[in-house]
Amino acid sequence: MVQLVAPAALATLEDADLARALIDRHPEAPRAVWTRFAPLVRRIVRRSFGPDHGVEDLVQDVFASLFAKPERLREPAAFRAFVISITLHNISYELRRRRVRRWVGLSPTSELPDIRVVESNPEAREALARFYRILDGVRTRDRLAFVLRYVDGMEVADVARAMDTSVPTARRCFTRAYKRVSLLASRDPFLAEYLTTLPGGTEP
Amino acid sequence: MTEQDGAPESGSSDAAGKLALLARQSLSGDATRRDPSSFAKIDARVAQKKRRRRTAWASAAAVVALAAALAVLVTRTRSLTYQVVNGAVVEGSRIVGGPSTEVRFSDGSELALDPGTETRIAALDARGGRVSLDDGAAKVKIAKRPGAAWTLAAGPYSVRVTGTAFLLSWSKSKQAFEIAMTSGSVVVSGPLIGSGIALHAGQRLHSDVGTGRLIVDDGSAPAVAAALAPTPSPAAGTPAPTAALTPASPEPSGPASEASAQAHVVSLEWRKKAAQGDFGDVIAAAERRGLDTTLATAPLEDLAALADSARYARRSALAKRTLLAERSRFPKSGAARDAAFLLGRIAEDEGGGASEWYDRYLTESPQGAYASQALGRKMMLVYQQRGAKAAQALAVDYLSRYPRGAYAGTAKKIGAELGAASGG
Repeated sequence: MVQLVAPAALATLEDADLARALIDRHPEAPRAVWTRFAPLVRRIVRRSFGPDHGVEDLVQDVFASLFAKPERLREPAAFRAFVISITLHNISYELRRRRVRRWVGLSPTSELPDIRVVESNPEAREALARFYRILDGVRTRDRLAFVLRYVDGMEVADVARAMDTSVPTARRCFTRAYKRVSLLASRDPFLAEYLTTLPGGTEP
Repeated sequence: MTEQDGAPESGSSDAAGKLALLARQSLSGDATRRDPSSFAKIDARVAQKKRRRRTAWASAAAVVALAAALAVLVTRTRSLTYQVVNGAVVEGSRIVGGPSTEVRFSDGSELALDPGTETRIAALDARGGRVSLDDGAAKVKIAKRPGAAWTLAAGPYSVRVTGTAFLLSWSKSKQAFEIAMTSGSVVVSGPLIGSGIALHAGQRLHSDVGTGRLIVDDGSAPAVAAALAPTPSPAAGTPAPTAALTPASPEPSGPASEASAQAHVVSLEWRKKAAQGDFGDVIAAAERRGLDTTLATAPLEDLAALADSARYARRSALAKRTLLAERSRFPKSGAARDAAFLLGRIAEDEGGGASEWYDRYLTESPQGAYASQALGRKMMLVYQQRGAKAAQALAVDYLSRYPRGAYAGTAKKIGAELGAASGG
């Protein structure tokens, strides 16, 4: 079994130094990067696709992209943002691919969810499934901005940086998605009923 | 929902905010239990990505190659098109040249028509076409392309071209054909020529079907082979091998005697040899008969063949004697008049007397086949010997008569030189 323990020297490095080690093709750098950023990447992927989709293949794709050409990272200090950016790029690609598959009548994916949702409440699970079906109808870019801002709780500036766009543009994207989700959720009888049982939003 | 610059705050309490919060709480686990095997698969993912990239590039390259092949196929199978510019009169495929009329083909080939020139685009295909010059003159430029195949018909003459530039003219009234090569090579066929004669850059071919005179001029060594050919049959419009000789030659009276028949055969033989470039054979035959005897008794066509052979073989003295014999024995013939120009060329090479011969030619044959050359060469001589001012009148005359002639550039230069001198 592969031991996923990064060498101490690399594990304690700052993001920028770890990025430089990766760019310099340090043999242990990929494992250290994986250890540090896999939870972040996995979380963003899961929150982008919802509970009913497998995420591991996509997470591996993100790191495969990162490890294949680490020299694309021009600013080692922005390593975290770079990882998120690659993650969003891969998610966008996968969302578009799934949308095309739906258009041509193929099943969205043959993958089984590899991580079960923690939620044990069947109503909450149904609400989540309906929520992600609504998100499937939202423009990819708006969806990602919405997920980063409201589901992941990022600051607006971080959302803009991750999407490689301006703050006003990022704001327009997640606002547009927010309004659309609210509208469609209010038209869904199950969600309309279920959401009344939930408390109001709290701090992210 | 609260708004800040139109954006709802994170953690809002309406439907979208509640659903987002639900998703955040439900999908927060990091689930590291699959990490070891997941990380181990990344190398395989990288290799897979590289394979996919290579496949994508190969597919793209294949698509580009296919598109290029299709484009080439479409281009090659699509017939050429053309457009007529600058005010030509066009009736179907018939084009009459106006001022500065040009016919531009889609492969880059061009015809620049002299005013009044009549042409027809007889056929076009993917590789070239067939253009008929019915009357007048055209500057032809055929684009050099692999597989290009163009034919230009000028009266009864046909010019096969693959990629070249030349001046082409056909006078319907005078039945005169002329082609002057600028670059490349062509094969010309038609009356007096037979199956074909190859012409190269710098050469000029003039053929007068009416008088049966064929001249090939190589530019540096001026007039070349002359072959007196049979006059065209009035019915067929093309010459028959045994038809009557040129009008300038003595007409045979009554039934042909054995001697005259023999002379006729000899004439055809000398003419043919001269046209084929066997100049030494013609001179040797004349010498066998005796030069004095030949010059005193040979028919005009033999003298013309001998004169041309001698000039081509650089036997200037013999050429001069023969040309003078032509002029003294057949003074009213076209060949005798042309001899004046040819004597001028020899004199020019020998260093004196050329201007007088050119003057004589221009007086005797103001519209003759060599008129442009005689005038141009005289202008050059005067310019070289006495300067631009002395050559000015000749230059003006030349440009008015031959604005596209071979000496037009020099004539313009003389004008410019005088203009600059007067301006200074």
